[in-house]
Amino acid sequence: MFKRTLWGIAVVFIVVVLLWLGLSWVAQVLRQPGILGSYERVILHTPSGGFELTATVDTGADLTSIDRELALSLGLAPEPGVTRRIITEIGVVERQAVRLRFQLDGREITSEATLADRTAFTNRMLVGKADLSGFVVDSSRQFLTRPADAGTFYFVDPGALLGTSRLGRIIIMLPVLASIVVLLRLLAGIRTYGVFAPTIIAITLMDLGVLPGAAIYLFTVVAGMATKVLILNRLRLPRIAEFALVMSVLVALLSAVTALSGFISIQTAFFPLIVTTHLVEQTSRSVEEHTFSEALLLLGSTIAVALLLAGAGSLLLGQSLAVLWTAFAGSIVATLVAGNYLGLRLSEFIRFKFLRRTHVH
Amino acid sequence: MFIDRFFRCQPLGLNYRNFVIREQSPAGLLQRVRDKNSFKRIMREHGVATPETYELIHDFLDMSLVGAFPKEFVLKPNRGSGGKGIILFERQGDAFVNPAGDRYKLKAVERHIRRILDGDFSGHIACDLAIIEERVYPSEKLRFKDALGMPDIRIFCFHFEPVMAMLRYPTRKSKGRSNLTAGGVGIGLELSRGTPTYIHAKWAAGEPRPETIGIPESFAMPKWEEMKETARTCSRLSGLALTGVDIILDAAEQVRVLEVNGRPGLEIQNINEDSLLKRFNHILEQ
Repeated sequence: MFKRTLWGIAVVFIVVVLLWLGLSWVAQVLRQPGILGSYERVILHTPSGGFELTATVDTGADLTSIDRELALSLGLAPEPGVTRRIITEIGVVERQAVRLRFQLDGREITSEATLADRTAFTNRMLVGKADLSGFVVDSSRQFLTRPADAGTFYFVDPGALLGTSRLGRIIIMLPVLASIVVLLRLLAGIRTYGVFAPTIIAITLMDLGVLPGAAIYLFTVVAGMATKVLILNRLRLPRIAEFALVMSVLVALLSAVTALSGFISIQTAFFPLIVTTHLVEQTSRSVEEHTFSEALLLLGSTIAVALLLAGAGSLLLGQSLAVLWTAFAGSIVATLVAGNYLGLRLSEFIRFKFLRRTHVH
Repeated sequence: MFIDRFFRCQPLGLNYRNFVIREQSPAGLLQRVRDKNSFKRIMREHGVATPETYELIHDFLDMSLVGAFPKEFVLKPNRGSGGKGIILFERQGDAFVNPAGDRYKLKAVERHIRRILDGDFSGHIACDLAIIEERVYPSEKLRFKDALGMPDIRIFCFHFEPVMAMLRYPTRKSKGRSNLTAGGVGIGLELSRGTPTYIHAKWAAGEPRPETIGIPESFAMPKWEEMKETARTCSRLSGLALTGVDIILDAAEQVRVLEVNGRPGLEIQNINEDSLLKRFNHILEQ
């Protein structure tokens, strides 16, 4: 079993590398020269050769700036007596300047950079307005270029490509949340209506806020179940027909609420609508398979797990990209390990009551 | 392997059961067992008695047959599980009456068949067949004062060998189904003699327990050896590592097989107060 886990990890690793290669290739093909993200890689020309680093692209700054320690260690000495007046939030300061040559997006740029203590910032270099002529900056993206315009294959940073926008972060988080559902099922024995429903509910709750989101779900689930129980069960239709009708009734109700109160807009209710229809169908199916109370219990546990996921999700959303990708990798490993766990689920210690008896033969 | 040793004394959990099914029960064979009608044919060819199939309904066109159904019959979905969608009918004039006394009109029966054909009782498949089957009555020897409906015997087999058994009765709550998930009552059967186990396992006083159905302490399952042999045959025919063979003893005391389940439930361990894993290990050690 341990061997299979290792195999699983190896396969995942190979798939990830292949995807990365493909992604890099696509990025290469689609690359538009001249567009910079908020962070870019540059190559500094120093007396001891080229030095590659990440620089912040800042159209709010006039001059390019570099960390004093770094510049000195690279052998870039400030020109004696040359200072620049910089306006900062604490007032006007005089800073020493240094002549700098660097490559950005394949262009050779000669500049005069000020020396500053940048140890508290993410990047030790900042490219200002003076050196950005001819470039367009898309501040929502990062790492769109490569410093030297060489023909070599260039690996894109997948984290930077996806994770800069909120949507990108949520997408990275989806499999993490899904694997939490899997862990809860395989290790704790907490059953839900599939993996899809709690994950999507959690994402919508994060997006709409827990209270308004919960209100929308409460409304759609109650309305959907009422439609099913009070109207559709009497019509005695095939289930697929009921499925479509639940959706129609929900849309009609939501539009009415939108028109009357403006509290819920029909757009924000898109995901709740889909998920609720799915839940109503699953619940009515499970009422037939098991008992009514069991079906409600499953519905309750689905919503409880969704709340838990929403909490975990909002926590993750605020973290840095590195944490997010660590959670992503961790969730893959955790799912593989849990998938190979063959012991009792937590709930089964309760289910198999005879375990607690002393006289088991 | 160390994991096996570590969990040896534990009950069989869902994780381990699903693992055994994944590893040792090929999907094709599982499907063959789920198709009740064709597996019934295979069992009959090998001399296993089953309830007789009167009619198979493939599509809505066959619906005209409903008026010509025999006086008593069972209507069930071909690929249903957990006893879903099964109704026992008796004709009284124009009406169809189920054991609870509900009267169905011809139209209602047709509607139920339509739902079966749409796959409403058959998990995640889009269509199914409806089976019209012989209604079987239980042997007098299985009728006790508080028992309702049709009891069946579930024999849990591992590697084609019976490892645990129970007798199941429907209750009012279970709506005529003897499945434990539906609310049926189970009585553990001692494997070598077919006697109830709960009499041996001392239940703590005051603890909630299933109705006793009024089963006498001296009870021993009639034709027990034949039932075990039948279970062996059926599980060999299925080719599956884990099987739950559902057997009935009819009014003529003939042993008949209702169906073979490729994903048998684990509640049988609670009924017998014993671990399936322990019994698997006995089989593997032999």
